[in-house]
Amino acid sequence: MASAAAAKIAEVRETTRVERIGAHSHIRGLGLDESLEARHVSQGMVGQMSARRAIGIVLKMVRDGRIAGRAVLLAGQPGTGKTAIATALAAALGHDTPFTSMAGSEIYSLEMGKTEALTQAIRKSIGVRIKEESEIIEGEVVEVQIERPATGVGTKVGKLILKTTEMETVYDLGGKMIDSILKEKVQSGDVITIDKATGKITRLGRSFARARDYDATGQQTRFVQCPEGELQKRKEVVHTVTLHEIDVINSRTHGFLALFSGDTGEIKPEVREQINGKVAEWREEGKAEMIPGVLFIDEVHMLDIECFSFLNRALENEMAPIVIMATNRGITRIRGTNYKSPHGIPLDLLDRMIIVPTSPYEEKELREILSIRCEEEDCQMSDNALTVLTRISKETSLRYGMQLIMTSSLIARKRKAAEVDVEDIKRAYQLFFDEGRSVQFLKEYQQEFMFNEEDAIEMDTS
Amino acid sequence: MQDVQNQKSFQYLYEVETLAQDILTDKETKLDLSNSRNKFREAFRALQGVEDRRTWMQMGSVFVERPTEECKRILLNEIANADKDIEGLDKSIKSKLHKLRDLEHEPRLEGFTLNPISAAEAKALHKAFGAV
Repeated sequence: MASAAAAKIAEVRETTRVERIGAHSHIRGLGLDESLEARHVSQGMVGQMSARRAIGIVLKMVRDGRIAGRAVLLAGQPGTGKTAIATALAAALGHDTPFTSMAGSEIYSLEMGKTEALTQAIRKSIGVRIKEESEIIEGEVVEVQIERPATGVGTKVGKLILKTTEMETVYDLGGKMIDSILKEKVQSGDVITIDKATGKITRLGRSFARARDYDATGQQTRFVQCPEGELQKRKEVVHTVTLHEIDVINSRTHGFLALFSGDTGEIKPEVREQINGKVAEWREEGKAEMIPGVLFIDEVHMLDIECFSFLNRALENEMAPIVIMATNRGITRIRGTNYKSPHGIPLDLLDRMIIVPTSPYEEKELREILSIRCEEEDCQMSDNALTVLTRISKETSLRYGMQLIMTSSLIARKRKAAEVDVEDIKRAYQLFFDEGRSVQFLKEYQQEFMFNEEDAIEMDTS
Repeated sequence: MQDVQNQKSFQYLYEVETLAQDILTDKETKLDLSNSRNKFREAFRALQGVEDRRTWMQMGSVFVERPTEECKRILLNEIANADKDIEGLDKSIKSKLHKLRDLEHEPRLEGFTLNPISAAEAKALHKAFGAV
């Protein structure tokens, strides 16, 4: 009995989570308490207390939804948790607030212009909440009576008796309803819903009370409980759609095809204007709520001067989302110009932003992060090994340290050990170069490589 | 005993339970109203097929004979009243539910205070997104 239960649990584990493990998949939120103070280690976030607090305030701003068109810049060295903070913000916002994440270089595409790509990204980050209401009649069919006139022509009349667990009533049927009942092949024992506005009949399945243990039953027969409560119900459904989705529907006659083929192409400005008008009308009538979301642009220094001036303008719009950008560059050339500027962002745009710096992790924090990652990657590591790995991450980079977790765990598994020990880490460290050693190696053996030119190796990073 | 009544947790539980009971009562009333509305409708439909000029009606425990037209009018009136009462109950249940969720520290249900979009607009959306 116990073993059977255990087998069942194993089965469940296998089927529920087949998600792949990404670099930031351990993050579940910003790890703040009620007063927006950052807890040291919480929800997968470690350290970066001041940056997390700052983003916590941004989160509050977004939740209240009062302020639109603000820009936030996350600036810091590589591997200081900029993307982690953005991921955490997305997780903390929940599924209802639109969050669009893009890399700066994504806007360069042959299919659409740069500004079009930016506009789409912006409109993907603005949600519209609408409510749909319908009156339905839902119940189990007790009896259908349909009387055809003896002559075969003329109007048919019929009766439909429906019940729920609480009540039962008779409906007289008109000709149209009789037709759709015949079409749906409704018979006694079915559970059906009738949409009052359109008269559409939907069969939900057979009632459990009518379930018989026959040998030959159709496979599709679905058994459902007899509905509870009233027969006549009001159904309210709230949808959250983004402006971009509405754009796409209206820019094509077969909107839904465009949604799934992924080829949306450029959307005409007239369509956008129409949508804006319609949404404004809905808002005035109290039919819609705007949800300004978050647009996250990683590697923002990859945008060029045209995009920056476009962003400048787009942020002025009252329907603009909150834009969060991240960069790891210092003073560098603005793409598309010969001018240098901090973070590769023009000064006028920089002036509009609030800048949140991230700082390199302390050794203690590195250890915390690595142990969280070990857990995420299902890898048992001894204390000594973790200390060595922390040391390595401190000297090289956190990313390299995280790579070593999986590689050393595979090495440990090969020697059939239950947990990763110092020797596995050492072996992985010897097998795989970090960036520093790779550069050193190249410097030493440069002569032996092909097409090697002395001192011409300066990477153009703009 | 006096002490217990002044305790904060007691007060809290009292509030939550009263509100929840209110909602249950409202639901019950709605069910009754809906049931009687169905009965009125059935009666009205039955009268439509009747040729007699006068009809017997049971009001409470008394039978009265009134002209058929007047009976129909009374029934229609009752149906309209029931509709209005159910509408009101719907609204009050909704606001009470919001209050209850606040008391229980559950997240707010967003968007249910909006006016509904028209049926045509809803249909267009469903066409685009498939059946939601």
